[in-house]
Amino acid sequence: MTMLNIFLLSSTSLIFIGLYGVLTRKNIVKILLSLNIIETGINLLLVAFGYVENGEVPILTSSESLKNIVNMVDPVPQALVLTSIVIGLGTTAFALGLTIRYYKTHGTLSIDASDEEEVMLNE
Amino acid sequence: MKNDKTLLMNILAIVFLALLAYFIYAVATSSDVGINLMDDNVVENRVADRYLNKNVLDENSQYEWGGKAEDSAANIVTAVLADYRLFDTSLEVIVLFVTVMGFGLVLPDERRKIKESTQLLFNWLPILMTFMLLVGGYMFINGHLSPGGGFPAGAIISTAILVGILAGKQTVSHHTLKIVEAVAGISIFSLATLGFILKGSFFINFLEGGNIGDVFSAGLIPILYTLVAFKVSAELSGVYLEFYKGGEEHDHA
Repeated sequence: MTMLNIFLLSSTSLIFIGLYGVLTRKNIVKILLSLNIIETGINLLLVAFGYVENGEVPILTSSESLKNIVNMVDPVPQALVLTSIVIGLGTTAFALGLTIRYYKTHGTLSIDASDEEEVMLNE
Repeated sequence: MKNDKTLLMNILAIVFLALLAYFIYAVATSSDVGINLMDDNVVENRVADRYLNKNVLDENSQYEWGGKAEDSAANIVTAVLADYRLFDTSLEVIVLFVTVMGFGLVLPDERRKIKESTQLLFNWLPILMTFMLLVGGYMFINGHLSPGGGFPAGAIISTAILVGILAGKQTVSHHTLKIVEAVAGISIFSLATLGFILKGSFFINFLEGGNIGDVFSAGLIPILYTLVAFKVSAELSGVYLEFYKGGEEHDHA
């Protein structure tokens, strides 16, 4: 099994663990945690696409490293993943803020609470 | 009076959108020199071709270790992030800003007081904060040489402020954070505009000099990363401070 296969396997399993959590959990915080697990899996998948077998870190450290530039792993997915991590952080913070508001409105973190329209009307 | 203002805002928004639509239309249909979006273009005309066919192994190549390899960074990820794809990164900073602002909006207005912590954490606070700020500072100064950069550095610096809150001490006020964030954000886009004035394209790396691998190299990248680090740290610290009463400064901020 090559390193790339391990990366792909672990990233897809992370994505599916997260999807399972999103589909089965009732607690909003747990759903958000599952979403973050999916995000981690996707980030790993993106980095894995740029992986080169026995590749090097894409940092120039000496004049020899410039000759080895073909062996470096692809830096573009890494830069994209950095962007996606930061956006994920922002959306997670926003979602948690919404969760706090949800708890104040419904008195519970369960997604069942928003099923019934009466809850909104009684408020 | 209020209705007049909303009407004015609506008109301004429509004018802005119309201008934007016009410019997109003008770019799409322009027949000037360069790449025209509506034409069938050959790959050789695209900017990407220049990067794809760049051969650093050629003997005539001017890219060498310690040389001025297109004024870029030794850390190639940083070069991609803060030079080639700088538009992406700067808009990412804006996205972070918008989400953090939205976080403050949706949060119920129930702030708690900063509690006294144990003596142990309180006494260790200066030492902990010094180390955190040192690591954060090192990260954004060396962002173009080693892994790291503005975003992780901002996260680390904001963690230092979080430790301060946990130890019962608010080290920066809400007001200061807002000023830092605004100044950093304005500076990023002023530098971009300066590039447009000096060299004719937005966000161009107009500073030259420095050898690859030095701290003072890569032109604008360390400066931009420093600004990004300050902006991100101010935004994230704003998230933590959103939960706490911030003294008098917060009321008229």
